[in-house]
Amino acid sequence: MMRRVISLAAAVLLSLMLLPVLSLDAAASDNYSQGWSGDASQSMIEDDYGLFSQDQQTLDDLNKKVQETAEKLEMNIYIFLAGPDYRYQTDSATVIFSDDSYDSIFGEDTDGVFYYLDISGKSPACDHISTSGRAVLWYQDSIDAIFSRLDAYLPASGSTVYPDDIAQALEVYLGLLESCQDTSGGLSYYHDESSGKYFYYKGGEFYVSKSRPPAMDLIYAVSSVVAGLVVALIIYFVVKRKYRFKSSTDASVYVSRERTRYFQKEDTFLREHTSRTRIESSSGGSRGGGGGGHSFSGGHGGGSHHR
Amino acid sequence: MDAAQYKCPNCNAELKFDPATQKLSCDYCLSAFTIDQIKEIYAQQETALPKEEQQAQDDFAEHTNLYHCTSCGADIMADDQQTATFCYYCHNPVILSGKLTGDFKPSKIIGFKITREEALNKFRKWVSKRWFIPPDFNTDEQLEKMTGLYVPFWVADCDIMADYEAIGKKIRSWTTGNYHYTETKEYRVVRKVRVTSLGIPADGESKIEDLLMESIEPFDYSELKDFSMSYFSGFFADKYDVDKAAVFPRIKDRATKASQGVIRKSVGNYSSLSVKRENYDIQKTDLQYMMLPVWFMTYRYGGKVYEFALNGQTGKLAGTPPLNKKKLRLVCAAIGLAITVIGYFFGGRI
Repeated sequence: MMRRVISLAAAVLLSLMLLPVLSLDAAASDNYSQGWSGDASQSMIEDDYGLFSQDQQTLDDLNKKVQETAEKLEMNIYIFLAGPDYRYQTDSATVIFSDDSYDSIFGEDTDGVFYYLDISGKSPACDHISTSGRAVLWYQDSIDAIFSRLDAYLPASGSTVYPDDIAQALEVYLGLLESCQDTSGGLSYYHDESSGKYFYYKGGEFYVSKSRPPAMDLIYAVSSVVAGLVVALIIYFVVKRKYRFKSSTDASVYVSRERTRYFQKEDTFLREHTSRTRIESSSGGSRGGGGGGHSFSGGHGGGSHHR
Repeated sequence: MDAAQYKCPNCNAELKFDPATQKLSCDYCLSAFTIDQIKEIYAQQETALPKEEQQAQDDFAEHTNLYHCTSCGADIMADDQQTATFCYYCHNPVILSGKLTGDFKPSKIIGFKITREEALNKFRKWVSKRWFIPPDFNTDEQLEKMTGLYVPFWVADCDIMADYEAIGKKIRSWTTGNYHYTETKEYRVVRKVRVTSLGIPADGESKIEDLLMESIEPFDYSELKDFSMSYFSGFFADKYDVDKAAVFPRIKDRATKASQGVIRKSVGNYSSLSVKRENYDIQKTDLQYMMLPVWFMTYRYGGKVYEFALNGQTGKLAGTPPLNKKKLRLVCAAIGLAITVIGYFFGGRI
C-alpha cells in the first residue's frame, strides 16, 4: 500500500514538473495565426449605402488612404458603409455579419480590422469594429476611445448623412488605427468565447490558439495548487479528527427511573406578550434574450457602439 | 477524640471534626456524623464480618500471587496456578513480589463472556475500517498482546438531591395577512427531585485511562456473582491503586451529570430557559469493590502508548486508533497533486 502511494505521488510530481513543457508543445501545434498576406489591394471601403455614388473621386482617394494605412500597419482594413437594407438588423447580427464578412474577404485569423459604419437609418445606430489576428491585441484597449473620437464626426441616429462628414470621419478613423496601435504585447491576452481561441504573445511569437496563454497558465497553475493544497489539508484534518478518541458513555444510563422521586415539579404561568411586525413586500421581473450563429470559425475581438 | 482515626463510611475519606456542628464531616461526600453515630457504625463493621467472609479473605490472600512490573509499576494479580510473565500494560517482564492481604479481595465479579477469538475478531473488524493505521498494528505479534484482564472497579449507588429553578419561555409564531406575530409565554419552572443512580462505575487503576473504561460501559450487573478465585483462571487481574476516597470525585461528577440529564429531560419543551438556581447535593453513596472483565491491549507508536479495551461481557470496544501521519501526508499530497494537475490541464474546460 505504502509503495503504491509513493509511486502515485512520484508520478504526479513528475507530471507537474512536465507541465510547462507539455503546454508549450500543445500551443505550438495549434497556432492558427495566418498573419498578414502583404497584399493591401483587398483593403477598401464598401459603399453599400451608395453615399459616394455621385463622388467617385472622394471614394477613390479614401480607398487609397485605406490601402496606404494597411501597408503601413501591415494588416487588412475594411470599411463597410451599411445602407438602408441593414436598417432592421439586430446588434448581435451586426457583430456576426462583421466577423463573417472579414473572414470571407481576408481569411480566418489573418491580421486586420473590419469597420461596420451604420448609416442605414437604424435608431440607435450600431457601429462595430471587428478585429482579427494581431489586431485583436493591438486595439482591445482602445476600441471605446476610437468610437468616442469618431462620435464628433459622425451624424446622430436618424439625422441626415453627409458624404463630407463620413469622409472626414473615415480619415480620422485611419489616423486612429495608426495612433492607437499597441504592439507592446507583454502578458496581455484576449479570449474569443465563440471560437474558443486565445490571442497572445509567447516568446516573442504571436499565437491564435485554443491553448491557454502564459498569463492564464500562471493563474490556473496557482489556483490549481491552492485548490489542491486546500483539499489536501481538509482531508488531512478530517482524517486526523476521525482518529481521535470517541466520547464516553453518558452516565444517565445509570439513573433508576423507579427510584427517582420528584418532590416538586411545577411550571407556573407568569406572563404572556405578543408582538407583531409588518411584512415588507417585494417584487421582481425577468429578462430574456437571444442570439445568432457564425458561419466561420475564425477568432475575433472588437466592440460595438451606439450613436 | 482524634477524628483522623476515622474514615467516612460512605467514601473512605478521612473525617474531620467540625467545631461549629460538633460533628465529624467528610470533605469529599459532604456526609456528617455525630461521634456516637460513627462509633456505632465502626462497632457494627467490626462484628459484621461473618466467618465465611473472613475465610474467603484468607483464601484470597493465600492463593493470589502479586506480580510487579519494574518498568511501568503495574501490579498484577494471578491465582497461584498460573504465572504472570509479562505486564499487560507495557509488555515487559514482571517479577513475583509476594502475596496480597485480604483487603484487596473484591466482593463481586462478572466473568468473561467474550472469548479471546471473539475479541480479536471484533478488534480486526474495528481496525479494517481504518486506512491510516501503522502497518504493524494489526499483526499477529501485536494481537498476541491482547490480555484478558479483570479490572478493579468501585461501583457506586448514589442519591442526589437536585434543586432547580428557571424562567422558561415558550415562543409561538404565525403570519396573518401582512403581519408576522410572535407570542411569548413565560413560566416559573421548579424541580426538586431525588435522583437515584445505580451502579456508576469508576475504575481503581490509575494506569488505564478513565475515559477508556467509561467508553466500554455499561456492564450488565444482573450477571454479578460473588467473588470466587476460580474466575481468575486463565486471566489476570489488576490490583487497585485508587481507593474509594480518590474515585469519589469522579463518581460524584458523573452522578451530578446524570441528575442534570434528568432535569434537562423534564424541562425539555421550552424554547429557552434562564436558570435562576441549580444545586446538586449528594446525599448518599454506597460503594462496592468489584472486578469487571476487560480485554485490554496497548500499542506503543511514536513515543505514545495507545490503549484499547473491549468489554469482556458485552463486546463494546473503545480506543484511540494510532494514526500513521507519514502515510496520511503522502496520500493527502498525492490527492492534492492530482487535483493540481487536473485543475491545471482541465480547468475552465469542464
